Order: sequence, then structure tokens, then C-alpha cells
Amino acid sequence: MINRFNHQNDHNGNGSSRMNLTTDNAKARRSIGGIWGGGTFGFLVCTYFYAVELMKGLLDDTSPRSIFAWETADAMRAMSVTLGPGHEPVTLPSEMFRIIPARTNQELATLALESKNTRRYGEKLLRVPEASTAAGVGGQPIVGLMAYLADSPSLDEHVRACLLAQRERHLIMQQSERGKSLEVHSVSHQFIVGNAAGGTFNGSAIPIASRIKRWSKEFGLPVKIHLVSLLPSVAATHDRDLAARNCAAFLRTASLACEKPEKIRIHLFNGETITHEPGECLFDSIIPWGVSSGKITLGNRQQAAADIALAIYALLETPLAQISEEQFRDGAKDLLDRRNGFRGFRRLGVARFHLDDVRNNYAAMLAGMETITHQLLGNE
Amino acid sequence: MKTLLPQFGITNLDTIIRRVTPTSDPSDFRQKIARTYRFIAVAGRGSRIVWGLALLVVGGCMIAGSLLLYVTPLAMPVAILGLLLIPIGIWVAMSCDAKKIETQLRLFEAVCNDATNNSWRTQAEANANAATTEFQETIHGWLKSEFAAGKPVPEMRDQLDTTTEAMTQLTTDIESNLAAANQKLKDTREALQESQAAFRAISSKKSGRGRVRTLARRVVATAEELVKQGRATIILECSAKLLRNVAEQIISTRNTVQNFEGSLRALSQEISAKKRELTELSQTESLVGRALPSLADVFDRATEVVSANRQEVFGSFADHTDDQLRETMQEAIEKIITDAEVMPKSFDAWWAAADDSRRQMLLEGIDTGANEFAVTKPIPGRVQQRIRHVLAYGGTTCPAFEQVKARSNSVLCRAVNHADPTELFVVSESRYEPASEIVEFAACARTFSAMSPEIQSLAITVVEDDSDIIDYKPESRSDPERPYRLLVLGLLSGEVVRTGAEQYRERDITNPKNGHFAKGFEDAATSIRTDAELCDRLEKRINRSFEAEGQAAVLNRIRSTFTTNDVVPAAVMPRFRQILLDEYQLRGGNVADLSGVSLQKI
Repeated sequence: MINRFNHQNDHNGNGSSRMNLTTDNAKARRSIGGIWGGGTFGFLVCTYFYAVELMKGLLDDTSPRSIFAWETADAMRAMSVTLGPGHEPVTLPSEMFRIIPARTNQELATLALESKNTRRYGEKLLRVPEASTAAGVGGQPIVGLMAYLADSPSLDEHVRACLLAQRERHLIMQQSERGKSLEVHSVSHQFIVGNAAGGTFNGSAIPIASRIKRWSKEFGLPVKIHLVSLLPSVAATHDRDLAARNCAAFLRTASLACEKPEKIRIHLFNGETITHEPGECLFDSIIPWGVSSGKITLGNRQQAAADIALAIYALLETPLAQISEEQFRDGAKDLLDRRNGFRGFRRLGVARFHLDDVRNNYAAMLAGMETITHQLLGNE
Repeated sequence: MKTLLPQFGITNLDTIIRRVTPTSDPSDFRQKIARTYRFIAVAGRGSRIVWGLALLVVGGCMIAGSLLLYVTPLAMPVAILGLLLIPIGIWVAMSCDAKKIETQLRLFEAVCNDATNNSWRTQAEANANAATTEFQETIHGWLKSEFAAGKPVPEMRDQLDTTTEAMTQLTTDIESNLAAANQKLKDTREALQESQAAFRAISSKKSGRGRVRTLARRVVATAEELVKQGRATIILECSAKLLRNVAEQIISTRNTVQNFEGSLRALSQEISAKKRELTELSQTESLVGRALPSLADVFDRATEVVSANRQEVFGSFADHTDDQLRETMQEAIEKIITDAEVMPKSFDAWWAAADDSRRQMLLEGIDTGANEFAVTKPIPGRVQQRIRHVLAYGGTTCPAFEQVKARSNSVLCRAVNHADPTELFVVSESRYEPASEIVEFAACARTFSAMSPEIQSLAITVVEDDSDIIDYKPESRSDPERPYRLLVLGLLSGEVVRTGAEQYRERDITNPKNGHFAKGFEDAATSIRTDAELCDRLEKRINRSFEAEGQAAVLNRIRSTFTTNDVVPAAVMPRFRQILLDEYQLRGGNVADLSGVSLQKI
């Protein structure tokens, strides 16, 4: 076994002593956590993340990873992604996503109008043009919320099952790590991903975050929830005003969920209301993802989705998530400083350089065959 | 293009004919001819001479007896008889046994047939078959050696084309020769028939021995000639057959080569298309990061290695030219690439092998690609909290880390040990970023604020009241002018009341304890700045008041207040008027009107 000294001690601002990591142990330092993708874009990110995990062979029975996507558009079921030249297309397995059963706005409005608590939702919904959710919610967050509420028992069960599995893995890893006298990484990181300018994710991300928080608390799984939201500059929509409206409202709501979570109230169709205690912020960070980094511009949503998947992969599958938490100083004071607005935002950028054996072998084979065929054909 | 025939051992027709011609005569034909000639020479020589001599003796004796007994009446008849017997004896002695010769000739004919059609043909055909097999091996050997040498296939095909043409010429020649030989054979056969007929005629006429022998010899000679002609024809026939087989082999080989060439061309086109596609895809880079080495480097290195070891490839598929071309080639190339270790096995190995320009390209890629994907407009003076993490196998021992660190300018750079030696992650992260700096969010929020409440409402979901979101502005900076603006507008709208004691209070709040929130204009502004609730409350009240009045009334009020001197202390009057001026402008008022007023009154 090759022993390598991890130099993070030298840079750790906290000055806390950590471990010497072997390469294997570095692998063992995968964080507990998951990726939760809402709407078309979230689904895409989840599929990319799944493809990367698959490529890396990380999705075995001992994986502490949850991948779950929810979407209203049924067409996403067959969506596949390719990681690059020479790679096979990958589709998200059915157990990793849920397509919310299609309902018309009228049906959803009827459901909402039945209860006093949800009547407000229903009244809003009546102002939305009549349509079915089979092809998506048409960029209307209120329809996204209603679709979520209509399917909340099933979605909630998925969230619960995922977190329960993570908790189990967490316990096993704790035992395993104790055996090796290594630090126990107690915090799980949940990344909720989607398009802030869309409808499905916009309407359902905060309820999902709320449920993650709730189940984590119940299972005794310390959790940090990170919201990764695509900004309208990357969103595929022609209605820029609608996208801007959705984005602004969503980011304001997400910020409110951090600053004043007690203001977030979700009324379910069964008459229950989900409330939050003051100080129990729903998101630990809000990560906006735009089209440009100031130096380069993303080509399209696919590229953005792949980049986000990579960033989450880097955070979850390497020690980065933990190290990053340690290296930034405590932000409580920063969050209180409102001179420049709410300071719960976090930005990420990722670059990956890798030896892609599949692509390299494919390219080398093509070059070799071209050389031979050219020579045999006298084309040199 | 030179023909391959000399290489295959075929210089001209003679070489083919020599290959086919039996080296020995299995039928022993020469001896049989000699024997026949001898037979003709001696045929009937024994008994007929004896009988002839006997008749001569008897005839002589009878003549002699008649001379002795000439006195007797028998003398004359005996003498006459004796005289008759002498020529008869001479004739008998001189005559031969034509029947025996005829029988012998018939036997000889059978011998000729056997010598021509059986043994000779059998051996010639065996020679031709052996030559065909041998040639087959030769051409296969040639093909293999040409492939092994990596000779261009079109050149091989052209050579085979030329060879096929040469073979066609040879085949034409031999066919022509064969036709001539057949004609000659036919003529000889007719001559034989004629000589046989003449012999039979003479034989039946009981001609003299000399004549019979002469004709018999002619028959034998003609038959011998016929055998020669027959054998020559057989040789030509077998040679023609051999040539045809050789030609078929060459054509078949040519077709194989042509098919191979076709497959190669198709494969080449397919490879080019795939390479083009790969290059195009790689221009946008793999969606999950930049693959190393660059595609051009992979192509160059693989080309170099495969070129150097091409003999292995040529050798490997020389036996599989007709099928499995792709599989055989792939297998051989894969082995070469694996053996030569074309691709680096780790990032460190790639870095070690890369030249400066490639390293610089990677570092530039990090510079441009690893920045956070959301444009911000940093507030001057605010210190950003940014860290760039380099996840590399070995952490700080990664050879690229120091250079990444050096190029990261103001960003704090940290190395993190990464388990996978084949990849390098660079993650830049900023935390505690104010919403007001997120350019896109701020722009969206402005658009949102400009929308009607009905439209805004459909985007607001999980709060009890829409105003919780409409009035909540995490993206707003605390503008230093904002408290002054609220104070002035509060005074303008009547929501803030200024007392004679320079105290400021909210309208309707009369509780003496909290009735006023400040004393003095500056204190009032400070209170609004520091008390967020007061600030929000005032803003709401002012907005409500102005909404109730309507835009025109507000503008009128601004215009009228603009000339009033007692609304605020004289010391703050310039700031007061400036704020009014800005508000007037913001609400769509004509600034020139207000400026006119100000010029007259101030």
C-alpha cells in the first residue's frame, strides 16, 4: 500500500489535527449524502451524476449515496446522457426517479380548494391556463407545488427511504472508520438541484428540502442542505420575463428559508401544515449556476448539468465537502451582515482533467487503424 | 506495371509446356516401334523361303528328271511341271506373310493408342495438377509476403491485373497452338488412315514382300507421327488447362485483393468519419471534464507507435484478407498500443511527459474553466472569501499543484489528496456572497419587482402571504441614501411627522414612550438605517400612501414641497431638494419644470 501524507494539516486554518491518509482511506472519506434533482434540469443533473458514479464504479451496495429525481414531464423517463466520445449512453434507473402522475390544473385546483389551508393555492391555480402536467408544469411554480402536494405521500416515502439508507450506511461507515482510527465524518451533504427559472423544481424544491431536513432529524443524521439552482441565462425558455420572475421569486423564497424559516409554511392536501422553527434554516448554502464564469460561457444546459454533476461528485466522492467546511471560516457573522443583502450565497466552479481510458483507447485505435488502412491503400 | 508471371515461374509458354511434359515415356513407345519395324522386316521370312526353295528344288528335280527320262512320254509333262514349279517357288520364296504384318500393325495401333491416350495423358495431367497446386502455394506465399511487407493493396491489385492480362495472352497463345496441333493431328490421322488403306489393298492383292514391308513401314511411321502429334496435343491441352487454372487462381487472388481493397476503403472512410466525429465532439470537450492527453496527441502518438510496429499488423491479418479484417486489425493494433504503453497511466505521468506548451494549456484551462459559474459584481472594498481546491493524487506532491497555485493570483489555493491518480479536480469556491453581487439574481429581482402583483403571485408558493416575498429583498444593498430618502418621502407623504422640537415620529403613533424615534434630522436618518423594522414599516406606509394618492398627486406634492422651506431644517435643505428631485425624476416627472421652480425659488 502506498502511504501518502496528506498536507491538509499545513493549510487547515483551524489548526486541528487530522489523519494521515492512505489512498484507500482517501477513498473511504466519501461523504454521506445525496443528490436530489427536481424538474427536467434536475433530472438531467442526476443522470449525469449517476453516469459519472457508474463510470467510476462507485455504485455498489456499500455506496453512501442517494440519487433521486422527481419530474412531471413523462418524456424524461427515456432521457439518456453520454459522458463523451466513445462512452455508452446512460439512462437513470427507474428506482432513482419518480414521474409525478399527470393531473390537470383543474383537478389540482379542485384538490386545493377542498381544504381551507390550501384554498389560497387553488385560487392561484385557477388563474393559470388549463393544462395537464403530463408534459410539465409550463413554467408555473404554483402548478409545480400543487403537483408535488398531490403526490407528496409517495415523494415523501422516497425521501424517507433514501435518508434511511444513508443513515444505515452512515452507521456502518462510522464503525468501519473507528476500526481504522479515522475521523468520523458526521455531517451528510444533500444537494438539491434544479432550474430556478422553471416550474416543477421551483414549486417543489423547498418542500423537498423541508422533508429532507425533517427525516434527517428523525433518523439522527446530521445534515447540510445545499441548493444548486440554475439561473435563467442557462434555462431553455423563450419567455425571459417568466424565467426572471420565477428565478427571483424562487431565490427570494430560498433566501427567506435560510433567514426566516418560520415564514415557510407548506399546507398539505391532507390538512396538515409543515412549519419550521426560527433558526432552523432550510438551506446551508444557495449555489446559483449561471451561463458564464466571467471567463468562459457554457455551451448549453447539458454542459451546465454535467458541470454541476461534476462539482457535486467532487464534493461528495472526495474529502472536499468536509475539507471545504473546515477551510472557510465560520460564516455566522457574515450572514448577519446585511449591508450588501443576504449573504447565504455560495458559488462554485469546477475543472476536471482526467485520463479517459475509454476515449483515449478509442482515439488511439482509430488513429492506428487509419495509419494501417492508409498505408495499405498507399495514401501516405 | 510489371507482370508477376516471372515471379511465379512462368516466363513463356515453354515453361508451362516443360512443366507439363512427362520427363520419361512410361509406355516404352520407342522400343515398341523398333520391335514393330523388326517384325515387319522379318515377317514370313522363314517358312515361305523354305517352301519357295522346296518348290524350286522340286521344279529343278522335275526338269532334271525329264531330261533323264526324255525318251519316256512322261518326260515332257514333268519338265513342263518342273518349269512351272520354279517360278512358283521363286514367287513363294519372295512373298511375305501380310496377314501377320497386318496383325502386328493392329497391335501396334493399340500400342499407339495406349502410348498417347493413357500413359502419356495420365502423366501430363498429373504434372499439370501438381503444377496447379504448386502455383496455388506460390501465389498464396506471394500474397502473404506482400501483405507482410505492407505493400499497398492497389499496387498489388494493379500487378495482378497486369498478370491476368499476361495470362490471357498466354492462354490465347496456347489455344492457338492447340488448334494448330489439333489440325496437324487430324491431318496425320488421315494420313495414317490412307497408309493403312494402301497397306490393306496391297495385302489383299498378295503383293510382294518388299512392297508389303514398305507399306507396313509407312503405316508404322505415320502411326508414330500420329503418336507424336497426339502427345504434343495432350501436352498443349494440359498446358492450356494448367494456364486456365493459374489464370483462375490469379483472378481469384485479384478478386480477393480487390475485395480487400474495397473493405479497406470502406473501413478507411468509416474510420475517417469516426475520427472527424470524435474530433468535433472533442472540440466542445467531454462534458465531464477535459480528457488528457489532447486528442491530437493521442492521434500522433498512436500513429507513431502503430507505424513503427506495422509489420505486426500486416503479418497478423495476411491470413484473414477475406474476412474479419476489422477484428484482426483491431486486435493487432490494440496489442501494439497496450505493449507500447501509448497512454499515460496517471496524471503525474502525463505531466512528466508533457512539454511546456501542453502544461501551459492545462494551466490556462484551469484559469478559465475553474471559475465560479455565476457572474458577480463585487462591491468595492468587500473582501471575497474564495478558495481554490486542487484535488490531486498525493495532494501537494502533485507536480502541477505549485504552478496552479502560482497562477491562481489572489485566490487562496489548497491541495487535497485525491484517491484517483488519473484525474485532477480544481474546484473554486466562494462563500458568503451577498445576493446583491449576483448580477443575474439582481436583474431578475428588478424584473420581478416591476411586475403586477397578479403575475408575481403565481411564482410565490410556500409562504402565507405574497408580500412575504414581494417585500423581502435579499438582493438589496443597504443604500446609504435610503434612510434619508425614506425620511424625506415620509415627511412628504405625512407618514413621518416633524414636531416643533425637531422630533420625528410616525403618524398615528402617539404613545409618548415610543412616539418619536429621533430628535434631529440626522438622528432620524440614523434610526431608520439601524432599525430594519422601522425602515420596512415606513417604506410600506409610504408606498401605501402614495398608491392611494396616485402618481399625479404625488408629483404635484413633490412640486409644491420643493419650494417650501420649512419642511426640514435649513441645513439639510440641499439634500432634501436633491432627494425630491431624484424622486420626481424616478416617478416620470419632467425635471425641467422642477429645475425652473428651483431656479426661481431656491
